Amino acid sequence: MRIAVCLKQAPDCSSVYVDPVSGEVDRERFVQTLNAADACALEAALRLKEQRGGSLFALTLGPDESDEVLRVALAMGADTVERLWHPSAVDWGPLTIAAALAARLHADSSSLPDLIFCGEQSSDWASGTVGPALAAYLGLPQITGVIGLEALPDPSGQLLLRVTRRLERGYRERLLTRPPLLLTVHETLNEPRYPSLPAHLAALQATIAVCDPLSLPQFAPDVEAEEATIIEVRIPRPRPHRLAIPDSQLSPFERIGEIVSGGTSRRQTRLLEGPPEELAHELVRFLKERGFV
Amino acid sequence: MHAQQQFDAIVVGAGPAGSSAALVLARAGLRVALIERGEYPGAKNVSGAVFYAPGLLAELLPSFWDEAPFERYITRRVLTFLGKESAFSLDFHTRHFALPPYNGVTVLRPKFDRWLAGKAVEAGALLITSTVVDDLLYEGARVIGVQCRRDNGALYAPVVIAADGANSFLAKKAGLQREFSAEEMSLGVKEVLRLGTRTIEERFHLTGDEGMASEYVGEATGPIKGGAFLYTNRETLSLGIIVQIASLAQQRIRPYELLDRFKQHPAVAPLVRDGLTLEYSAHMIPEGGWQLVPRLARAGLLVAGDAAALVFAAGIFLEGMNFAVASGLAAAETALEAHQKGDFSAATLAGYRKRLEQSFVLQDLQRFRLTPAFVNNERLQNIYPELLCQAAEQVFRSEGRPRKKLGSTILTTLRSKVSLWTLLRDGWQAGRALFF
Repeated sequence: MRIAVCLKQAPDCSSVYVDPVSGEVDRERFVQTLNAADACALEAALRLKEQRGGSLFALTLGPDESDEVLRVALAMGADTVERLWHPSAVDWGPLTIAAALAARLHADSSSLPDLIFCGEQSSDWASGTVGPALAAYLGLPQITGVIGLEALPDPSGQLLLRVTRRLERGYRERLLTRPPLLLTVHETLNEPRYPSLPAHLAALQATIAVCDPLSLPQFAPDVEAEEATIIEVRIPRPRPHRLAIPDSQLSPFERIGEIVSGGTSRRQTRLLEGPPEELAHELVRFLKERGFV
Repeated sequence: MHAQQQFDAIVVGAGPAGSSAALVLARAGLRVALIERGEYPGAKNVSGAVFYAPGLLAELLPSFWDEAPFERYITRRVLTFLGKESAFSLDFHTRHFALPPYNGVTVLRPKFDRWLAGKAVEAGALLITSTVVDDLLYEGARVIGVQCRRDNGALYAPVVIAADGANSFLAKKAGLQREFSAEEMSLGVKEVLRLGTRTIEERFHLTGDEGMASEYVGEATGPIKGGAFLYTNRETLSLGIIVQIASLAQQRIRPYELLDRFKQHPAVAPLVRDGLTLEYSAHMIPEGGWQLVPRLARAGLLVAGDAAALVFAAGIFLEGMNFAVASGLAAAETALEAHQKGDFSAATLAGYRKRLEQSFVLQDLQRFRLTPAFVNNERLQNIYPELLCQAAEQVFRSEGRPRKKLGSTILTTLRSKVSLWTLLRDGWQAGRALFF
């Protein structure tokens, strides 16, 4: 099985300082690291590779300093790594970047990798676009926001994956799927490993292959086509806090109750009484009714 | 053993001492591993930070003055005695410190240490970050490498330079350093406040890249033994307190409360007004002086910088980075000599101490060896600053009454709290510690 992981060097969030008045970011304080979600993507890919055999190719697009993320990939266990870069790429948006990555993956051999992993979003712009766009360019199915991944035993010998997706409002979606496909991984999926010293040393001294994406046959950047133009960046205003004004007709005790509850409608509670078996049944029925189980 | 895990020298800790040592060793063509526990050099390092005598590095790095990320060069030195509601300052300003080689510069350690380690890497050292060194490896009594906290974490080299900072586990494990007493160690708590370039220049009367280093004693740290500092960076202030750990434990006051108290002192509050806290950090400082300096070498091992307690905290002097750099350089030279001889025995490496004895590093520490005890004198810490302020107040007070001559005004104020005999004795001690 061939697996590819797309990585990005991004600022470590704890090192980012944004001036609250001007909204400007202090770039001198940045510490660039491997984007947290990408590290989880890499770890997930490594675990699959170790379970099922195969090879792992790590890819990034970025300037010289981005070599560091590929060194991390090598130390953790990637077989081959490559960095795409052209000076004009500083202006590329997520779609152009995805196109360049797609062109590189196409250029490799006749077939695409069986599985492609990306981080769901990066810590800087967090557009979450590169992964899905890459899937679109490659004509692959995609699963975004992966927070659970398991390889299931399958009698046919093919890889069967059980994937849990994170949806809005705490919902989860569980899917069974087979490669080829692209997964974008959430940064809570796993705990990336801490490489051994020999692997770390070898990675520090490795030479990193660099490829000019403009030289790839299937790639022609069309910067004009970037759909999004950034007009303004600002820090979101904190949401106004709604204050509930208690009804002066009520008794002090009830007014306090209203203030404490924030003026929302009173919580509906039901007290169950009875023997434990019945209570358990009641609970299960309640949870099923509300769609929790 | 992998050939990959064999080096000519291993330097533990990529602070000023470690990076300087690695730079010299790598330039001489040795295979050097520079091991740092932080994500990047400087990530874990805390300092005031004024780097005095930065010219030490300019000799090694000709482009130092143009390239090094220092903030401001120090042309203004202030020493302030704080009373409860008053302050008595000695304020010195000179243009002679405004030309390279500068006498001292302020730096932000995360930037500066990263830059300096980068120079060592350019020279060919291998920088290994995010890696903790747990122990030394021995062959008989000889140190032959280090054990890192990673799988298969052994690295080998005939000489190891331990520059692993204030609480050096390596120096202790090698039996060179004893356990510290709480009187010998201080805790530094520091904030970096953002004020903006213009505000700093106006507030501290600075022009261009000039900077100020200001130190405080007395009420700065309340009843606790210690002092406070305030240094100007380009657009931020570094300020903090340095307090003796024994005294802190005895008085049961939290260090950050002390820092807050210092910031609220009427003489300090207007200087830090509207400052926005960017960083908050704390670190131990080995301020024991001469008597805390450990044995500096054994077969295969040299200790440099804070790890060797090479901190010059002698009242009006608060220096450490220059001592770190100088000791790092001396350690590297000794290691080179050992490589030339092919002999890493304790006898060869003892040359390290001789080098330091010939330089300012051990000479200053020895010459001012009485100062730490003098500075931690109860009266100097808690009584004299207040008395000095009171005396000044008496002198300057105009009440429409006949004045006494100054001598008797001052003496009366001083003798209200301290006997003449104690005063003379403390004066004698001050002389012994600092003057002659």
